[in-house]
Amino acid sequence: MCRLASILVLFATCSANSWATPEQATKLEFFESRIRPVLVKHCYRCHSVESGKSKGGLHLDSRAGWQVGGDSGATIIPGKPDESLIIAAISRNGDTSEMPPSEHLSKQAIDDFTKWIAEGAVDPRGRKTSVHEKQTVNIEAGREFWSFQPRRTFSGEHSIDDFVHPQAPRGPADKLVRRLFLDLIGLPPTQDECREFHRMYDEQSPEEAVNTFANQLLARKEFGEKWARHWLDVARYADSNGGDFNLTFPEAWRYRNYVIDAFNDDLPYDRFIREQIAGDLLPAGNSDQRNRQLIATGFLMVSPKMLTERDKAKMHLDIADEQLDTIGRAIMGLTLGCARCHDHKFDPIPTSDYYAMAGILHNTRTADGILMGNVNVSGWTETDLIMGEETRALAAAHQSKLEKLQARIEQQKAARAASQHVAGIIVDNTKAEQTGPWRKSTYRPNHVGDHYLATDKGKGPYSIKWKATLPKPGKYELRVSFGGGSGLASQAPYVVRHAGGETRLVIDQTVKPTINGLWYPIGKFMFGTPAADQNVSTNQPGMTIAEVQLTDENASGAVIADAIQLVHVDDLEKEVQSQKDSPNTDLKILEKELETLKTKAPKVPQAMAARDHAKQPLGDLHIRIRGEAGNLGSKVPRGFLQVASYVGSEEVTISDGESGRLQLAQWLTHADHPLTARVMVNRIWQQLLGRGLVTTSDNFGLRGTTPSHPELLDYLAEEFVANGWSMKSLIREIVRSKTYQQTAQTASEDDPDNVLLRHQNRRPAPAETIRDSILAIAGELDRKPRNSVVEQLGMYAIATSGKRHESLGQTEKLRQRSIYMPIVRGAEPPSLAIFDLPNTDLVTGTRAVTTVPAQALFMMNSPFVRDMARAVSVQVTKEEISTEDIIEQLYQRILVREADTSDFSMGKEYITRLMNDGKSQPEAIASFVQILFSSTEFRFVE
Amino acid sequence: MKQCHQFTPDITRRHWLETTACGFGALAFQAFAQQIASAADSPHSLPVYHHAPRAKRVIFLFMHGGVSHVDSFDPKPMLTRFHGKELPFKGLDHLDVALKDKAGNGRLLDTTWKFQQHGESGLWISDLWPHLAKHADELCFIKSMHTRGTSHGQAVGMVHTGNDNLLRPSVGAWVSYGLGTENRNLPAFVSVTPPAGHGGARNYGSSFLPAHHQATTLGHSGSKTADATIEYLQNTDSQSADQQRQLEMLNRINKKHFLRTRDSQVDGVIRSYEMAARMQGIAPDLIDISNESKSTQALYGMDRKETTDFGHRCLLARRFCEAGVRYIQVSTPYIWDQHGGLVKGHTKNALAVDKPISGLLDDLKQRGLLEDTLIVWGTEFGRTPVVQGKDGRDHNPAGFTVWLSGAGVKSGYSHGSTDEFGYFAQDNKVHMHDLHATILHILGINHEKLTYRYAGRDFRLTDVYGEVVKEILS
Repeated sequence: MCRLASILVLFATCSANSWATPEQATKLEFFESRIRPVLVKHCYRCHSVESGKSKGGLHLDSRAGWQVGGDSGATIIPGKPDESLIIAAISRNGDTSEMPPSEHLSKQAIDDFTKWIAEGAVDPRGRKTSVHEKQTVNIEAGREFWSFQPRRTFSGEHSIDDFVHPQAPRGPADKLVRRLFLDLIGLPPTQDECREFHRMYDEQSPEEAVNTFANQLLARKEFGEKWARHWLDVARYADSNGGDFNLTFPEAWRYRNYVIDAFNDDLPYDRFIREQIAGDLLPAGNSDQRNRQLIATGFLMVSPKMLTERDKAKMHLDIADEQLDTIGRAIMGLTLGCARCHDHKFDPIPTSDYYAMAGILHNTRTADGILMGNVNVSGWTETDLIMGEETRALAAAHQSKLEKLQARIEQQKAARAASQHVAGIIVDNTKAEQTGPWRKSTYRPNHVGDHYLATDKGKGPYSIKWKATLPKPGKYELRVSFGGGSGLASQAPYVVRHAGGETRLVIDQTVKPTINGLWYPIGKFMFGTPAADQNVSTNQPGMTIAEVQLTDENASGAVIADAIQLVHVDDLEKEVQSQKDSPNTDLKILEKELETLKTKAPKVPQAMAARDHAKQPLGDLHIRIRGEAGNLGSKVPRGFLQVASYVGSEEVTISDGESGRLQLAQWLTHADHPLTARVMVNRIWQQLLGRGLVTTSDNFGLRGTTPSHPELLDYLAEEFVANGWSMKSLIREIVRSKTYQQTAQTASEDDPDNVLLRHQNRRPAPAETIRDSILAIAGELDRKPRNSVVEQLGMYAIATSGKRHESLGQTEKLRQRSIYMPIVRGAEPPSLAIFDLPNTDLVTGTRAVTTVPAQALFMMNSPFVRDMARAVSVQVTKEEISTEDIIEQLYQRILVREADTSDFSMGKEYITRLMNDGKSQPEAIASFVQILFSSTEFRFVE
Repeated sequence: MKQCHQFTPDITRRHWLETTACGFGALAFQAFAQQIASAADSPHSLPVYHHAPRAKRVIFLFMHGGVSHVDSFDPKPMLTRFHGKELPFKGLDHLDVALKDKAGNGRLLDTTWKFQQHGESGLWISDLWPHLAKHADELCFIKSMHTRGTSHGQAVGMVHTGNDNLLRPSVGAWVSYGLGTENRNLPAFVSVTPPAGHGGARNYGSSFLPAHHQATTLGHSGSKTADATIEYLQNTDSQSADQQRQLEMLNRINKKHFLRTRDSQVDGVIRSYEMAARMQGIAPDLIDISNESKSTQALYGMDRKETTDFGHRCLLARRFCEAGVRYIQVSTPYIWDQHGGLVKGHTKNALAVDKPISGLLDDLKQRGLLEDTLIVWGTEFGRTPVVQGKDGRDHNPAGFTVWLSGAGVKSGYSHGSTDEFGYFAQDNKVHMHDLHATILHILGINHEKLTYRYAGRDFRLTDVYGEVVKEILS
């Protein structure tokens, strides 16, 4: 009773407000748990708007329904169960009809209804009519809801404890130091840190110890590495797209590191939000700031997208929808996505508000371009970052090198063209007569024209005939081109028709062409005039046409047919001369050099960043009826949620030519926005107490829970804004409170959820804390920050065939902090995924807590845990010390406390038994370490 | 929110924890799949049925890609008659056919396979499926299927989650949530070699449902079935006696923690170690098929190179089915996508699965399991009656065929039809949502009542759609 009294005092100041008093809250809770389910299950079938039935003229799905009553009269008269028809009906003892017709309600249910009516028949459904009923959204009435109300203001000095009245004693030093370290940096204290904390706790004061350590921990980079992860949960961060095409996000890491830095630099939360929504549109004083703000918009970008959606209009609407829903849940605790197809069923959000905001985001390009040359597959927007001084110099040097080399190549090519010009007549395969299924190819780069021809084994016969019309009769050198190289025919049969008749030649196509890497001379022949050459046998006057034929007859490998060249002997000398003019004739070497140089280009850093649409005019969006992309309703001017308003919020305008994202960011972070600060302080509170003041941390709407301590929530939000939205200050204030420092206890029967915060909560340690702690204790934690951890994956994080890079199967071997682990959608590291890493597709302010066998199997069988246990064992057995001392050390390192008598006896018993069975001491110790890692005590924060 | 996982009352549980010194080892290592079902005397959860179930469990055979219905189960003489002629009406938008050929409505492509009527029921099945044809009288075709999504991503999402954006719980997760597991030593939802692409894990994920409803998986669709196993199921470097001793000590230490805290969360973790140990005792044997006789293996086609891998998958399905897993999915690799080379591709694919599926039906029947198991054979979508390229067919979400067999459905029955060319579902159309509603119905679940409150809204598998296809119910 005295607890209730103190709460009533607490709430006395706010009785004028519309939100529930604790008494009412209890009644609401009673309605929700005992009355509504029965109504839904047994009555709605015949008495609801949704069923389309109102038998006896009665609706029981809204307060208005029973207030009006049915044909028989008032169904429920608050305070008077005896006069309420419903009681007579369900208890079947009156002369009214007996309900429900075919089944009897339990005695319990009838008693519940009687109690409910006796106590005033509190029914929240009266706030609006049936949830299923179509009705225009009443914004004014909606503003009466607690979360849309302006925050209370406070005068005088207050503290968290004034609002909570903590009752449990302060936690003992060992529990407190472990809790503080795990909560603030996600790592356990070292033995030295522990000793120092104990010393201060005992010699100075517990307050002093917590204060000093809190300040130290908040200043460590590990703080950001722990707390950024909480925001990344909300930002549904991942390093790959997931979805239909699970492509790697090579630049997403910049956003992840931005969030870490934001926490470590204590970036004011309002600024943090503005940068994430509209960083690209904010002014920047220097290039670092510009880059940082661009990277921040990764918040809008890292969502999973259906990149292969063929209806691109739908895709862009889907993306805007996802962004809006994320902004709604993450920043305002509202489920805006619901209003895409119809007015929000529960919250005062009309569809027009949805499209007013969706219009803003629809002006932003997220998915863009074409991937893999497939018009059905979209890519996403990446923006060049401004390079630092050094990178810029490197890039410039590289560029000049590149240009010089290109110039040389051009020179060579020109020379070569000149020599070819000199070199007379060329006939390419395209001009030749072909028979057989010749295959076009470009596989060998040294060929004339677009392509050359090749034979396929067994598909012949093949034949090709080149005819060259010569400008004058005389003696010519005949050259052929065939690329050269292994796999080709070593005996390609050529037939040359010339003035002296026919010559058959067998050429080895595997050899390298000798002239310009292209031509292979096969002999000199007379054409059109009498021969005076040993190559030519007979004289056939008048012939000025040269004919060369190639077949695949008896050829062992593939025969290549490209081009022939005829050079008059008089020109041969000129050709030699022109080659001398350009001594480095091997173009291939230069070109190769160029390719290599290109790959070594200092990369222009890019960010996955949002940008406003450049091609379509920025403007308003049409409502889509039932959310269907092609079903246009009226156009809605861009704007914000009407229900979440503050003085002056209606004056913000968005003109044509502006996307409106900047205004959206400013509206969201206005000091008087009713939701933004409340939602964030609740998130921070939740991480430190294990339970939010509003337990539905992503839903502050009508379907969410009401705050357990509304005044405290507003006090914290007021302080938060007054302190320049400093997250570190808020965290510091919370951990310094007695409320936080209470011992952790198991909730009592009368307050099973510890709503009243009469003690700290025992909470399962998050996945990252478990993994990082194990690594740290084993001395294996690699504390270096990471940039990209997915660059080795290439374009597909996971191919459609299921093929994945082997590194994704080996994440257990990684030793960096968990926040730097690759988060590939669909292949999250098991050490995190098994311990409730949230679904990376969804905004997750409150992680699911599961205790499934998979976790146990991981602790029992994963090589990771076993390896780490061995590493600990190696450390503690380095020096010769007694088993008892080892056990003492292990409890200190792993559980951060002293071992007690029974710990010693169990440990000794176990280790001795194993050693008696022939295990070595390190083996036995490792086995015991694994037990401590697996222990429930280790897996909870107390 | 519906609470369906009722554990043993806490009082009893606490009593047990406080009084038993070391009951852990005895429970820990039971073996043999045969014993499992009977070991489930105190079920892990009590299913809450909305009506009497017709089947206890489901095996979903997923053909990843699109199986051509007009070459398999939906004969269209008009294709033969008008082969090479233009389709006389407009087909679907956003198809590759339209994008690449720009050839009006596309030209019709005749089927290469011969259709025949089979069994007493006289159901039409082409000679692409010779083994399945022998089961004609046990099959229930739905030839008027349609779904959302012309791309794989969306269609795969639809078939697995009822949503084309892949952001919802999968069918198996809903079933696990609704009915829990039949066997307290095993999960309710197992997916053998699930698709790794087109949404990958989301196709067997739990999304916003509690995480333990997601499938326990064996390998993925690209992996060799013989190598597929459950993660961390086995300890590679310690003897089982050693591990048992280790678990006993862990239990003592944890129990000490529990007695200090009396926290049900702590008890939950202790319990998870117990279940893990039981699973570890059972599951490896379940996955190991070496004890199956040669003739059984041959029944599944495991004696032939072409059919051995999918046969292995189907055999595992039967074993999980026997052990009491509620929802078992078996998937092919992503092979059914013949935009070109239809004849060669479909021939090869059907060869790989036809005999194994037929063997599964035979085996389940012999063992009496077909009486309480529903088999669903499905694919993402069908393929167009018009040609793509020289010899291919494009995706067709507007009309295709699936079949069901076993508990709860009529046998030797065909429901619905497509138009005379097999393009659009026409009579008695069945949407993917309807199929989902029907599967749940057969399991005793009303798809409109199985809901989960997430972010302030009650979600269900079928969103706001879905009607049970009453006509096919037995």
